[in-house]
Amino acid sequence: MNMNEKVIDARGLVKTFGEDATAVPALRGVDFSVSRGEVVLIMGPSGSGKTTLLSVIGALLKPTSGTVTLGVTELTALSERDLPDIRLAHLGFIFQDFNLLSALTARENVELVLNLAGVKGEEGRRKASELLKDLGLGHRLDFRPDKLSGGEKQRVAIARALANEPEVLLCDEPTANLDSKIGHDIVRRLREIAKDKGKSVVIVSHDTRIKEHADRILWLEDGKFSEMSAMVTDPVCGMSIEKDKAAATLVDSGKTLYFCSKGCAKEYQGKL
Amino acid sequence: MGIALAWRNLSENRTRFIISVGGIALAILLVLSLDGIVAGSIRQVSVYIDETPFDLVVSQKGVKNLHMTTSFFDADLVDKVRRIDGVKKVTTILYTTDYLVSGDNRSVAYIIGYEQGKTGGPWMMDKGTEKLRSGEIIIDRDIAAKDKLLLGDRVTIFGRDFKIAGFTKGTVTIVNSIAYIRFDDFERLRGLRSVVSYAFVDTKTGNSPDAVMGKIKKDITQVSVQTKKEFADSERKVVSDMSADIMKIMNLIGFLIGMAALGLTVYTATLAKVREYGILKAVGSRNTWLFRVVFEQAAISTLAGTAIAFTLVLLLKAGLALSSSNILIVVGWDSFLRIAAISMMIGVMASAIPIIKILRLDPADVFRR
Ligand SMILES: Nc1ncnc2c1ncn2[C@@H]1O[C@H](COP(=O)(O)OP(=O)(O)OP(=O)(O)O)[C@@H](O)[C@H]1O
Ligand SMILES: [Mg+2]
Repeated sequence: MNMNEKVIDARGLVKTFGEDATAVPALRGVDFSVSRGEVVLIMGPSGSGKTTLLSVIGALLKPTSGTVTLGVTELTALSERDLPDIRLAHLGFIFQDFNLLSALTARENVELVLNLAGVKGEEGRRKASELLKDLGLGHRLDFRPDKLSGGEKQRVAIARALANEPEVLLCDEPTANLDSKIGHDIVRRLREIAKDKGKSVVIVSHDTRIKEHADRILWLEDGKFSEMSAMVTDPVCGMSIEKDKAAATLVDSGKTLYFCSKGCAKEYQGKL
Repeated sequence: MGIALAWRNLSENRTRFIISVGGIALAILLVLSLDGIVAGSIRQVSVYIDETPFDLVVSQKGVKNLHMTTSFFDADLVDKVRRIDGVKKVTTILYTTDYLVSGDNRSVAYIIGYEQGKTGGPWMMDKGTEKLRSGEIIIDRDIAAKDKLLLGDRVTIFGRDFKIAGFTKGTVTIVNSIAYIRFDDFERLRGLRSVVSYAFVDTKTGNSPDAVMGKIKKDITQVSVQTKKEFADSERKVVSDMSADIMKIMNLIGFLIGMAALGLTVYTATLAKVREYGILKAVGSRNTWLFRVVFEQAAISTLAGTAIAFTLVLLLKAGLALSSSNILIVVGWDSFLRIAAISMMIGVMASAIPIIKILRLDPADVFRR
C-alpha cells in the first residue's frame, strides 16, 4: 500500500455563490490533497468555506474554477450525468445529522446503496450485515433509525458510506450531534478504517478534541488555508487568530500573548 | 430483488397511507358508481323491448324506437309480412305515450294496446290478472304504491277512466313506466281503424332473422324492419344521447376530485421525503431511479384505491339488487378497465409535480441544515 499516493488532488479551487453585487466568495484559491490511508482534519470558523470545500471534492458542487482529480479521473471535467456514479462508487459521505432513511432498517439503509450499485438480493443483504457487524451493530440490524442512539445511527451511516468500497470518506461535522465520548469513538473508528482499509478520510469539524486522531490538520479561513502553526488563540475571548494579524500583543511572564482586538488586550491588562 | 423503497415509504406511515388510499377510493367510487348508475338506467330504458320475445320488429317507415315517437302503419301490411318466407308468427301492438293520472298525480307511461294472450303484453305480473276486460288497465306496482292505488281503483288515460286489474313489476325506468290496455280499447278510444304501431315477428327455426329481415325490406318497402337488438339499441341511444352531456360533466367532476385526491397524496408523500431524496441523490442515485420510487408510490396508492372502489361498487350493486330499489348499477369489464386506466393516468399525472421537485433538488443541499 503506497501511503503517499494522492487519492484526491484539488488545485486552485475557487467557488463564488451568486453574481455581481450579491456574490459570496466561499473558496478563494484552495489547493488540497489527501493520500491513501490519511486522516485530514479541516477546521476553521463558521462560514469559512469548509462545507463548500467538502461539497466540491465530493462532486456535489461544481467549483467556479480549479480542478479536482480523484485517482486519475478529473472530476471537474466530467459532465453532470457522470457524477452520480462517481459518488456512488468512489466517495462515502457522513453527515452531522446522520441522514438515514427513516422508513428503512439499519441493514436496509446500507443495502439500498449496495442495490443502487447493482449488488442486489442475498449478496446485498449479506454484505450490509457484515459491514454493520464490523461496526458492532450486529444486534441492531433490523432496527429503524428512530430506535437507534446517535452513536449507533452514525455507525450505520459509516457502514453505508463504506458499502461500495469508496477510496474516500468525506465527513462534515460527524461528531457535532454526539456527546464527546461517543464522538471520540466515531472518530477513532474512522481512523481505524483509514489505517486498516487504506481509505482517505477528510473530516470537517469544529471539535478540537478530535485533533489527536488526525494525521494532518488544516485551517480554513475566509476561503483560504492558513498555516496552523501561525494560528494563536486570544486568551480572553478564545478566538483563533493569525499571529501577524493580531490587533495587540502583550508579554506576560516571558510569554507573548496575541489578542484579536485592543479591547481584549485591555481586559487582560485589567486582570493583571 | 432490491429494497422496495416505495412500499417502505408508504407503509412507514400507515395512517397517512390509509387516509390517502381512502380518498382515492372515494373519488374512484364516485366516478364508478355514477357511471354504473347511468349505464344501469340506460340499460333499463329498453326493458320492454328486451323482455318481449321476438326476432324482428316492423314499424312505420323511418321509426327506429319507442321513446318520443309514434308509429302507425296499415294493418294490411301485417298480412303481407305473415306471407313472407321464413316468418313463423306475427303479433301487433298499438302504442303511444300518455300521462297516467290519478287525482293530482301524473306520471308518464308507455301505453301498450296488446292482443290478449299474445306477444307484447306483460311478462311479469305482481298481482291481479293479465286477461283484461274492456275498460281495464295494468300498471306498474311501484307507480301504484307511490300513488297509493289498489286493485280495482281507477286511473285516467286518454281522458277516460280505467279500472286497475293488475300490477306488473320491473316496468319502471328513469323515463317512464309501462301501462297495458286491450288492443281494441286503444283502437276505439283513439279512433283508429286497420292500423298497428309495431309488429313483432318470430322467424321459423332454420331461417336466420337477418335473411328474413332482408326479404321483408325487399318486398314491403312501406315499413321499417329491425332486429330486436337494433330496436333496443336505438331505444337506449335516444336516452343516452340526452344524458351524454350530464354524464360527461359528472365524469369530469369525478376525474377532477380523483386527480386532486391522488395529486395531494403523492405530493405530500414526496414532500415529506424530500430531504431523503436529496440524501439519495448525494450518495449517488440517479433521478430516474428516484422517479421510479415516486411513480411506484403513486401506482400502489392508485391500485389500492381502485381495488377498494371496485369492491365497494360491487357490494353496492349487490345491496341494491337485494333491496327492492329500482336502481340498477351496470359495471362491465369495459368500464372497470376504462376507469382503472383513467386512474392510472391520474396517478402518472399526479406524480409529475413531485418529480419536477426532485429534479430540481440540489444534492449539495444535504450538507445544509
Ligand atoms: N448555496 C449557497 N448560496 C449562497 N451562499 C452560500 C451557499 N452555500 C454557502 N454559502 C456561503 O459560502 C460561505 C461558506 O459557507 P460554508 O457552508 O462552506 O461554511 P462552513 O465553513 O461550512 O461554515 P459552518 O462551520 O458554519 O458549517 C458562507 O458565507 C455561506 O453563506
Ligand atoms: Mg459547514
